[in-house]
Amino acid sequence: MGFLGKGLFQGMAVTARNFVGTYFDRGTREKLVTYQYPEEKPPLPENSRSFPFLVYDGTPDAMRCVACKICETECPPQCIYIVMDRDEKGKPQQRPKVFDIDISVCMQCQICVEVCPFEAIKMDNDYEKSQYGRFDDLIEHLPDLLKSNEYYNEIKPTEAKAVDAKLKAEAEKKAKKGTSKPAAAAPAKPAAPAPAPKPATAPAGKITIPEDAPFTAEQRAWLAGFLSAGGVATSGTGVSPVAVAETTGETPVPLPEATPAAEAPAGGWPWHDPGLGMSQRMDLVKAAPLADKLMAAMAQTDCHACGYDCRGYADAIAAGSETDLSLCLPGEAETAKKLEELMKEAGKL
Amino acid sequence: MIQQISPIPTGMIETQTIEVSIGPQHPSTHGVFRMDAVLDGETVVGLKPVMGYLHRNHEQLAERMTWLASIPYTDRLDYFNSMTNNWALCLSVEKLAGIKVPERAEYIRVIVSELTRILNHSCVIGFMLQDLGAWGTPLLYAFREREKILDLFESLSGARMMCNYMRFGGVRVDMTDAMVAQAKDIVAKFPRFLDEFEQLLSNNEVLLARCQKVGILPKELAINASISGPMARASGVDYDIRKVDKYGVYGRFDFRVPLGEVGDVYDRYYIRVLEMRESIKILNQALRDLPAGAFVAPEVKLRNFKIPPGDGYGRVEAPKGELGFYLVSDEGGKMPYRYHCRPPSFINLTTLEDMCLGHKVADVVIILGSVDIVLGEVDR
Amino acid sequence: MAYDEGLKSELQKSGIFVLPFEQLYNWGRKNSIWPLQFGLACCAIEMIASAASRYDLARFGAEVFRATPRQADLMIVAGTVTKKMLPQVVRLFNQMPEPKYVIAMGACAISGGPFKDGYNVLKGVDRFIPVDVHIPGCPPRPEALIHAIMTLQRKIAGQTLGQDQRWYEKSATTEFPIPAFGAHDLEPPANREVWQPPRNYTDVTIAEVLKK
Ligand code: SF4
Ligand code: SF4
Repeated sequence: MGFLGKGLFQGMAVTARNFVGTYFDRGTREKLVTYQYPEEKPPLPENSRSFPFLVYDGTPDAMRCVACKICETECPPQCIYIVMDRDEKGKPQQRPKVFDIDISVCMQCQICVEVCPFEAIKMDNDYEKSQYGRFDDLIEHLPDLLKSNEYYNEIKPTEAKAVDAKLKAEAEKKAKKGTSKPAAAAPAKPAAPAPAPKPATAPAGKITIPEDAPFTAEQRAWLAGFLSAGGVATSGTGVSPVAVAETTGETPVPLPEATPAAEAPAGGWPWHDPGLGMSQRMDLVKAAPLADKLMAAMAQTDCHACGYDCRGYADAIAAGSETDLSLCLPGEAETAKKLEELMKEAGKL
Repeated sequence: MIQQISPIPTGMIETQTIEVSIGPQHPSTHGVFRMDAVLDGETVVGLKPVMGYLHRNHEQLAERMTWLASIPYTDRLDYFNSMTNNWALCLSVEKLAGIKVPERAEYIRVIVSELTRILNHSCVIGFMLQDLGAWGTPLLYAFREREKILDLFESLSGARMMCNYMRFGGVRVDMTDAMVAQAKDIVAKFPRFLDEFEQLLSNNEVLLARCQKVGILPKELAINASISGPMARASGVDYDIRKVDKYGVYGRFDFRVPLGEVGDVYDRYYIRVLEMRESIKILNQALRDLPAGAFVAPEVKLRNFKIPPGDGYGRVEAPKGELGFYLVSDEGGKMPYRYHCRPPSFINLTTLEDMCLGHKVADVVIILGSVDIVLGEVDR
Repeated sequence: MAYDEGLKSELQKSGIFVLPFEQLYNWGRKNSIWPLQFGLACCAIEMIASAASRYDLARFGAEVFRATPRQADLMIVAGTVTKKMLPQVVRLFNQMPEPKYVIAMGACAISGGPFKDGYNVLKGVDRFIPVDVHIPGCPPRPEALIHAIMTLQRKIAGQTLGQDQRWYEKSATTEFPIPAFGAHDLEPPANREVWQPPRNYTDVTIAEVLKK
């Protein structure tokens, strides 16, 4: 089959062809041309991912994260650290006090993004993160992690649009389900599921008794029931008189049925307010059935960390289909302890 | 370990065998792998592979985390082929939990796996020639093709190497039309590269001289040592899990399994070239028939995914051979009770000594190169 | 070393280029960083990819991967360092001539990364050898490695020809202690000369965000 060395010459022809070829096909993608990296950055596809960041709407304090700690538990190498924010009285604030990601451990797996129910954590595509230091430079804290929704829209247009649309639809649904009061349609942050900064902000359609109001526990419980049935609002609840007038027409629903997908009664469960402290919530359910008591012990964030919403988890425990009492992550040890207490009281443990 | 192969006639100069440790830091060991070779002059008379320099506790870590969290770790087993690794784990979990995978997802899995195979094989050939002394050129060409495939993987899954792409019951993101077009483009252009590659290498006299009749693995030994993948097929063992198990939708494609006759290094090189051609055939069919529909089974939850007690073994034909996961789920079912991985390159490596005995030291590196090992998988 | 910037540019106009010797010296050093050909795991593949034609590390003078530590200036620790491999890594580093630099490439080299909980994985190579530049990522993209090399070049450019560098001191040793397996684990567990556990760590809280 030819002379000795033919194969060698053939090989040389191939290298020569490639050598010359690169000069002539800059357009086609057959022979790739070197990226002159620092000047010319390779285009990143939209899905490209580097490290996670937290999304906020408008101003940084309006972050979407509610500190439910789902990502912290699900992150395979455990590189997220979250402490929930509490005010001086120890009431949870539905936002993280500390949120650190050690990007020197992060394996860029995107699992935190997939499991987040609030669309609060997303993948960035900035890869230029080389640093001289280790602990000072490579642990990202809240100020570094927070990036605006506009930025998100910029790096991942298609994905961000879908997320925005979804959040808007959710907010609208919520607004409709509650009352049509003006507060519910609060236009400032249409995409935010949980307007976090104001501590006692009640989710739309719910009426809360301010904790400084001069009531005894019994009075509170009664009032709560009364209010949820569409009674009169106490002054200073942040609920406008219009809203009260509109809620009065609705018929009270006595008790939610015990299915995980239970719909809230028209006025909502009065204790289903993450702004309330544990003792206040327990006061509200003094006379309620066990499932409600259990529910009141949860952190009320509906974060789905347990695999249900707060209602569903409580019902599942009450029905005996869920035996693990430690699933409420945002409630931390407090909730777990209370749940155990309640179950013992009810003689089920 | 020290053996004398030929008794030295009395009265002549006395010689000694010497022990040479190749690795763990050596340009040709493909990572951190050590071979304790016993040499008589230049001839290898004994060789002991030493592993464990990259033992990363994959199995032990997996037993401490949820099923889902193990998927990104499988990416790091055989870091060239994250897609097939994902598939192997997903297949065993799906078997164990009885999950049905939608049609479209099965096709996408076939497409990404076959792309992974051509990526792996072209890089392996590049590395093998690097060991032969062909510094750079074939490897650079292989890496150029790899970049094209990685571009597709990145737009599909978001990462170049660690795709973390498959999920129980499907895949994580759908393949858009643009990506299908990109894949078709790669598949259409790849045969040309392969022709060029063959022109560069297959008839090269140096390659022939160095590779033929070197490192022969007899058929019986291959079977007895449960060698799998291209290495077994180069020795003439007709065993391809895509044909044997017909997992996924492989039963629907028309392709052949190339077999070698001699089982030497050259056969192992050439089998890989032929397999790439067969992969192109499969890819063409899969891209043509890609159905519409769901890309992930809707009933599978991402979080709190539990598996009823039981055990199962799922295996795929990874580019390096049979990759399988043996999983045991117990009460609770949130995480595996036992998680065992059968890595092909680890088991293929067991015959290294048999192949190397009697050859020169310089041949050891190409024999090792033709086994195609990745230390992440060997040591786990 | 003070010199008159105005005079320098004045001279430049008439075609005379004046450079402090230090700058010239550093310019030469930073544009010929020869790395050690040393791959440990997955990150090494991305290291090869960045040396390959598409990213072409040669544009930075850093493509000459040397197989022997005696000829290398830079060690790119690319991959997981296990406790079994660590003595060899430190030994290789000891064998490199000064001045030498280390880039910890990827999560595993910096901190153990995804495998940090494993019993056989070292939680960061900076416990035993001084690391100059860290690249987070798993694996970092080739561009990220190039970015790190540029970061290292900046560092080299800022170094002075004086007593403040490790390798100019007469008493300085380039021998770092090589750990070995003791009764329980590696001994010593860290080289305290190059690594200190973080102290006085205070949480950065939301207050920082609200302030702005
Ligand atoms: S990307 Fe993965 S490793 Fe990184 S923080 Fe998210 S879950 Fe953790
Ligand atoms: S950092 Fe990630 S990619 Fe790099 S060696 Fe570790 S596991 Fe592999």
